[in-house]
Amino acid sequence: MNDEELLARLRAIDPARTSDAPQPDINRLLEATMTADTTVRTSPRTSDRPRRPPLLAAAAAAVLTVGAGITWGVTATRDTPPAVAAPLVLTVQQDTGGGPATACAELDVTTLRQYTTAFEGTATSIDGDQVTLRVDHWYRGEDASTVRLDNVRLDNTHEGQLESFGQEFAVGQTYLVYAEDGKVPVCYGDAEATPKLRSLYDRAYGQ
Amino acid sequence: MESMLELERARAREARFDALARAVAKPLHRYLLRRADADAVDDILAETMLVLWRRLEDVPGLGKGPVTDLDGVLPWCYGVARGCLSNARRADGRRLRLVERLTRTAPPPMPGEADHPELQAALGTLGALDREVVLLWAWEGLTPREIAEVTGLTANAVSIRLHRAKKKLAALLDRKNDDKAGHEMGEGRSNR
Repeated sequence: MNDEELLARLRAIDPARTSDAPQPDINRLLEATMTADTTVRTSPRTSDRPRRPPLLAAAAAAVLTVGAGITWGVTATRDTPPAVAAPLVLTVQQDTGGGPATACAELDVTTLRQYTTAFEGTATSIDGDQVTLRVDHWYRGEDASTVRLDNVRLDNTHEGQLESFGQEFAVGQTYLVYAEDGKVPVCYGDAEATPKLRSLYDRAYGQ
Repeated sequence: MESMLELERARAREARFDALARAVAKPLHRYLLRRADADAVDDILAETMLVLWRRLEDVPGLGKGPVTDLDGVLPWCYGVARGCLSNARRADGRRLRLVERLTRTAPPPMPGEADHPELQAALGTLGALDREVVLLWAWEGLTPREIAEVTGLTANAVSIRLHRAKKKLAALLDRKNDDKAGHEMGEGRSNR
């Protein structure tokens, strides 16, 4: 028997070929890994096989502890109550077609200050026109650990021209979003988190 | 602001891990499916991801942006999965000894052992490390250098083990083939 035949016979019994196990849910895995880190580190190993913590508990833990060493250092002076399990829902306003949205002036501190909801979050899933974000840092407003943006349209058509008013979202990317009364204004422009944009938010909300 | 810099670093780290995890999750899942009990695979995969997250700085050849060289990072990641798998087996072993006071001397049964008994038996005659080397060659499709990275052996040692193990398997399977042929031709081997 030569190498090729041996290889073929071994491949014939490859369990991965015939398994009907579902593919791993990568988004859940990522989420669980990055929030599980601190909780697993502090608990002693037992002889039981360690289990990854359920998602909700992990999210709550991330609020109370210094989750993966990211943003909570900045909010250390705030008293953060435990995370609300239900996501905060914000609806993106759409231009009703009466004309192009009032020219999207570049975002400045004065404008930002008018909004009572502002946060930095990472997109964890996109489903049609809904984007779910894990909140990494609240600048002003709520305390939810996740936010769902409804009515997100990638672009709007005006008089046959494709115009992009809003931000295109991608899973894994981080964004800065502001809102008032559950509504994200039409012209929320470039929301992708950059050092420049963060510094604008810092100055607007005094942190 | 110092905390701003920390924030950016943490962001960058998350992005690197995200790219890595997306690239290696399925291969690692297959690796574990082939070697662990079906109900343990998800837990061990989660454990593997956690180690990858903590040891992100150790992953060889991981730059910024999407993973461009999967063959560069995958062997190292298989090595991590292998470690988590052996931890899980040890934990199992401890549990059995505690509860049933039996010592496990036989290797854990491989998934799907009922089919192809000759090949399974032949693999069973190999030592655990030799068996792993052969399977990394046959199932994961790794080169001797990559197998070396997974197992911690030198590439030379891998080549030698691989060569010997293949010869042994081939010889055993050839002998089985001959036995079968002889039996069918009625040469009087009484196995009945």
